[in-house]
Amino acid sequence: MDRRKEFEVTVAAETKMTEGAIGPTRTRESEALAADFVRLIARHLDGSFKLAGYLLADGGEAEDAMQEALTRAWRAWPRMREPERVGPWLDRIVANVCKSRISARRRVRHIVFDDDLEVIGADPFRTTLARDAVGRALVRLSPEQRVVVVLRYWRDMPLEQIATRLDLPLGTVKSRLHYALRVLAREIDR
Amino acid sequence: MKLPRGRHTVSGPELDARLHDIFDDGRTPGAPETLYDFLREVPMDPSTEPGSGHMRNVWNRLVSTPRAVAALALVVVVLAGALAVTVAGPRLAPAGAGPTPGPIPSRPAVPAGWVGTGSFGQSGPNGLWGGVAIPQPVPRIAIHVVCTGFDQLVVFADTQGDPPYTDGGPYEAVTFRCDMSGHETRVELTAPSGDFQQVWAVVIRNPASLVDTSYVVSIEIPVEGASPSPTPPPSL
Repeated sequence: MDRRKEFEVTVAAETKMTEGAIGPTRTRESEALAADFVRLIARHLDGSFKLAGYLLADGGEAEDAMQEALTRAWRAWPRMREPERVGPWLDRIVANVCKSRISARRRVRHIVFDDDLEVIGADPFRTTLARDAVGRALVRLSPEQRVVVVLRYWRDMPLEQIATRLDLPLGTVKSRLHYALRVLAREIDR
Repeated sequence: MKLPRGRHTVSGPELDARLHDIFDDGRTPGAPETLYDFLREVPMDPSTEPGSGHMRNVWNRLVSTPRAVAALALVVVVLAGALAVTVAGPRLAPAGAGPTPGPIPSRPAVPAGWVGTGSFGQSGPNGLWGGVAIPQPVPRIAIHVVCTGFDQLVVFADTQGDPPYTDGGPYEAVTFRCDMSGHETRVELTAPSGDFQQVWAVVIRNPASLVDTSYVVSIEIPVEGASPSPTPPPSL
């Protein structure tokens, strides 16, 4: 049994167990809402976590960002009208949470004096991005540019789809990708 | 904005290939089990519904693990330092005085039997922090500090290698009290388990001080086979 299937079975069992024990404010409708949320979001959890990992270049922070994104998603869930579009919807929330986190990081000054001693730990995302000069340059891009590059090259998304997913004009996506790739291409020329 | 024709070719086949190689999913894990647990808990926890005690939920999560408690303690320390600068600094500074960061001290000499593996330093008016990774993690290191000013410098040696802004511990921490003589202080640390992977430091401002702190932290590791004499820790 793969993990996702096992997870869905566990969710079903727990939902059944908690039935009637949640309190007077819980109704069958809200239980059904919660069950739908868990079932549909779980399918996209691995992918959204990787998106956060590539954007933040840090697995631990990606996990924190996902928790924040899931909480936001749950709060907005009653307004969700297109369950078949949960994946793109969750991606957009994750991307927004990551962008906020990257912006917040910049308010902290962190100076490493030895150029040859970068802070590289055992984190798989950091290690993956740090092993190539292009990856290291990617982490220095603005969050807006980074998310476009990640969706284009990791998800292999056409530009039109990226624009839809991020709710941006196509021209903006093209522009961000162009300038991002120009920065990355310089690393190859060095 | 319409880009001029031909500018989209900036990527090129080599850059395309390298980016696709970077994003090879085989190297990165899927969502950890804790995240699946969190997803399961979110809809079951009424405190995540709008306007109903979300902060309490966050607090409960924060204090649920020893590592999170350590991280929280660090955040409190850093915030206290920042508050001291924000509130007391402007009040005590003479009119017209601007930030006058002094030079960062020179890296102290490495004693016999040890070898320097990295250093970092800061100079300025705020409770700034810095850090450096240890390229070859080891269970025993020496922290060699020179600092001038009237503040305290707290140096953390971390055995996890996590970024200090996302996680904490397990780590060893040493407080150095700076003064204007710029004297050197050196302390040796042994990891309770595992190897030290990175060292980072934060200045805790003395609200009564009008002087900027400058410091340099040098990390030393024993030369293989050498048995250097231990040094006493500085006053805590």
